[in-house]
Amino acid sequence: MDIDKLLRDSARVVNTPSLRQRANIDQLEERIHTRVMKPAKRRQPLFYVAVPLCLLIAITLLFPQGKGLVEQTMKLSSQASNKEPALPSLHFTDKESLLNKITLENVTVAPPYVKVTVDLDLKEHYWASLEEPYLVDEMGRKYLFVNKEEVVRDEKYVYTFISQKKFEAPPEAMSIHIPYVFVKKKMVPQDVQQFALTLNEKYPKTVSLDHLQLMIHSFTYSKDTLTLVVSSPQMRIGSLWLQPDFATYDDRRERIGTDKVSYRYVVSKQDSYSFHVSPVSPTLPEKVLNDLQIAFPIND
Amino acid sequence: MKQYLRPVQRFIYFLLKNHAIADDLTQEVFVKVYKHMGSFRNESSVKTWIYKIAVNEVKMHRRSSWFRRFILFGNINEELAGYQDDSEMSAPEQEEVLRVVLSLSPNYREVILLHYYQDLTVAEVATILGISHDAVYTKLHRAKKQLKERLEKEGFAWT
Repeated sequence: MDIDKLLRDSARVVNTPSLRQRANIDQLEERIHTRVMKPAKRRQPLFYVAVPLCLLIAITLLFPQGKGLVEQTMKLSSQASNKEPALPSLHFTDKESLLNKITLENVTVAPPYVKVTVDLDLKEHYWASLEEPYLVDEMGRKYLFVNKEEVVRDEKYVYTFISQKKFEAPPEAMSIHIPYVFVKKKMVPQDVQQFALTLNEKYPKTVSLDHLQLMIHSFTYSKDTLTLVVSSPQMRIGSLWLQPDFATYDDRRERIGTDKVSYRYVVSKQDSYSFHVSPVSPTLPEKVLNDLQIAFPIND
Repeated sequence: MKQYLRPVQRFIYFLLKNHAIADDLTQEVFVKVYKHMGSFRNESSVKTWIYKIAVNEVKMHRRSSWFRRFILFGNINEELAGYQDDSEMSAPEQEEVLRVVLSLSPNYREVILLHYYQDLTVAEVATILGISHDAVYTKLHRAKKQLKERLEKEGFAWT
């Protein structure tokens, strides 16, 4: 018997399907067909605006003496991009309020983004800082506003935010959250306090000012750099800068531990240096302080 | 494409000796075939391409812990008994031949099945397995030698 012939004969028999095998193959084919023909998961459109979009706007207002929460619900139709929707305005009639009005302007819901303009009408001598809003869809997904423009128009603060372009689902409702609006009194001469330090003094030492006490841990000069380390056991908040070097102190500040801050200034060596310090609200949350980069512990 | 379905299913079954796994892997093979049909570059025949996918699927399956745990220690006779239920083999010799073929090591079984049972040329087998023609010839020669020896023990005589 020839081995090749034996194998070919065996193969011929094996490859002749029985009825049951044919049925099995038919089932197999059907299963493959079902899997292959199953429509692929299609990517959702970036943003869908054919349905009325409900925008819930939540703003947290932070004032020097406390904070408030304001929520407003606004419904926009799909034509919102063409027509002027009813814009929510928050009026503050309270004489104590530092804000006259917050207006949300140009809330535009149109592919590929959501655009919102926040207009802050503040009392005189106050300024505001606004944390960038974000959008949340009904599934809890968060979308950021990637473009921010800040202008002062007719002494009002106007912030325009444009959202990111990609939205994962066609949301029927979205919330605009403005985490906080921080209102702060502008620097006026009486708010700013002044003190002077000399290099030949002994440190640490305490500097007492009106409603303010500073602990100067060290005050040294080395390699063209003046270094000041200050702290406060009561963690009050303020801003401090070297005169006349007014604008650049932020770049040179560094926190040391939880209560000390180090300031470094590249200046020429001199006998005495003048500093300005200004207190701000003690009630501001840590997040605001970090974002605004004014975290500086000083005594009341 | 349908004409390759059963041969591929039988090929995988003879390599793995398990009907259910052979069906599953055949499904995987043909799903891949349909999905990647657009990227088929005609560098080989469709038949060779399909068998190459099948060989890869079997290799991947053999590497799986499931295969090592259950198939390597499985009962070959039981699997063959399953095959006998379907059998249209008229001659006990042919049944015995298949039994001995299935007892060969996977390396040898693979070339025998592709060349004799799937009726592929040496060149096609070489393409499918990614080896040279000479290597296919060598494997076939050794596989047949081993097969002959085993069949002789079963009482087969050669001309």
